[in-house]
Amino acid sequence: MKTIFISYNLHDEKARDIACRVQYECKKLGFTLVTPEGANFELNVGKLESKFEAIKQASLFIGFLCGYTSNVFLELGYALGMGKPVVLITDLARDLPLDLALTPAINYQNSPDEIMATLVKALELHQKEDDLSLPESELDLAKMLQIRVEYPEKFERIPAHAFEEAVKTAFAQNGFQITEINPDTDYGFDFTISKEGKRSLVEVKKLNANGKVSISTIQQLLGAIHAYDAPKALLICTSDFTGSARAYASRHGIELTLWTMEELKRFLYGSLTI
Amino acid sequence: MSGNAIADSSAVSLPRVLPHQQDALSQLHAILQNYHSNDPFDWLDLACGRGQIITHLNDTLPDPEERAKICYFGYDINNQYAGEAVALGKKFGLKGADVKIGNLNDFAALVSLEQQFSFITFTNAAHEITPVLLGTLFFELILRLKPGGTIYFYDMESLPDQELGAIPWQATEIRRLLNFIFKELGAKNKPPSPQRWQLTKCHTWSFSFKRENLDVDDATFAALVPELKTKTDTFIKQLFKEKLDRTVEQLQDLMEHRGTETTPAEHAEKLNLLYDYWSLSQIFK
Repeated sequence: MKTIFISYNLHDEKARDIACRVQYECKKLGFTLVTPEGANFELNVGKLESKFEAIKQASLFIGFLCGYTSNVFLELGYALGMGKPVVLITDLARDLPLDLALTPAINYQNSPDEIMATLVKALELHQKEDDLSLPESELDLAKMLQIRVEYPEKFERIPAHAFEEAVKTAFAQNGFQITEINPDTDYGFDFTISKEGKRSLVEVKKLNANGKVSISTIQQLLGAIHAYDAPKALLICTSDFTGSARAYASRHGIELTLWTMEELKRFLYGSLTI
Repeated sequence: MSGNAIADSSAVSLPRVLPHQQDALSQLHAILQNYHSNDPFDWLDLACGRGQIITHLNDTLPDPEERAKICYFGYDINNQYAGEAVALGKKFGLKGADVKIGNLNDFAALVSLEQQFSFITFTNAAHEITPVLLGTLFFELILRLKPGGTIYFYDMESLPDQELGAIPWQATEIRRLLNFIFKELGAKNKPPSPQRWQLTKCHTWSFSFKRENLDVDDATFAALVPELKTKTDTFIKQLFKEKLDRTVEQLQDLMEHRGTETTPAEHAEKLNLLYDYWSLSQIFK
């Protein structure tokens, strides 16, 4: 379970009340909240080290910067140094160092309800980002498709083989038997799927957003259908197909199916099959 | 189908060893390490050009004793290139080096069945001959393969610099051809599966045929060859007729969507298809 570190002055009643409400929201969203009161920071021995360790483990830092908050500045500095995402609740906006100018900040003078509403949104966003920041090997196809829509640049960075693996896994989870092929050799298709005795070659093309699958890829896959005695093939593309590629594929529609991410999504959610 | 071969396209010396040359030489090296006979090791380099493969022999086979086992026999249409290949063979201390000058159409007539080889290479040349000749050559090479011998085939799926009349094979077409031949021969073993490689400018294919791949004895094979040639000719013609039809379909679709193509790749593909269309239509004139 991911943890969130919240930092405030223990004498700040408003901050303490909000922290309690944040704790409740964190529980709902599946986070653990570490507060100065909840954690064992009272002991002088190793106090700083345990604080820093807690910040190091946290995936998000929330800090109340108002009034006498030198401890918060220290912990905030450490969190920033550790590269942690930060949300501030502050009435010092105009006095903040320039380095913090782009840090998300909520006005401390707002009502607790207003502050909480903004914090809940931040927590929900963090949860989503957290889900999508898993290593590629742990991202399933649904998450990859979500990343493609919400964070296209991040999707571009996912390696083609990781995307192909996710597609493969999605087919396996939908009851298809997968036959792997030697990854060192280019057969013109990536793997085969079969279900109820029906076999298909599958080629996955992960292109950049502006790339399009052209006619030669269709031709290559048609060649593979004949060479590998497969009744049909499925070509999945993360972007789109050129008009001529679609037209040529439609001539061989019985053998060849083209899917963009729309069709893949429908397959994933059970409203389309091959 | 026309039997004319186009001019040799790739007979140029390159300073670096290309992947297929390395592949062929690595196989040669592995075979030679287990070759303990006192008989010379006969290597036929069909369409040898100016000796592009043996140019790199010194690096791949650094042991002079290993090289001294080899009797190199090149076959090429170009007299000058052939001379260069022989000179290279001598320079590297091979047991023997000779080159026969001839067109690939005349191979069966110029190289007798008594000449048997342990290792045969046929690289970068399948696109230069009329497709049915590849089937014929394959059988003629098997007939000249010693027991335990290997034939190494390699070529490009498309030419980085297009040539009018060149007819490249796809790896999938080679696979279909091998499947057909093995099936016709009633072989129980599976045919070798062509490997497909992606180079900077094109895809290529290669496969190694080992005599023991084909579980049909020499006498039976020799008896079946005439009929097999006829059937394979028909099969290859059908294969390339399909290819011509598909090429026409693709050109039609590209024409109907002209102005909408958005990828530079598709522009290059259009040119490739036009070249293919020309070459393929020539063989069915």
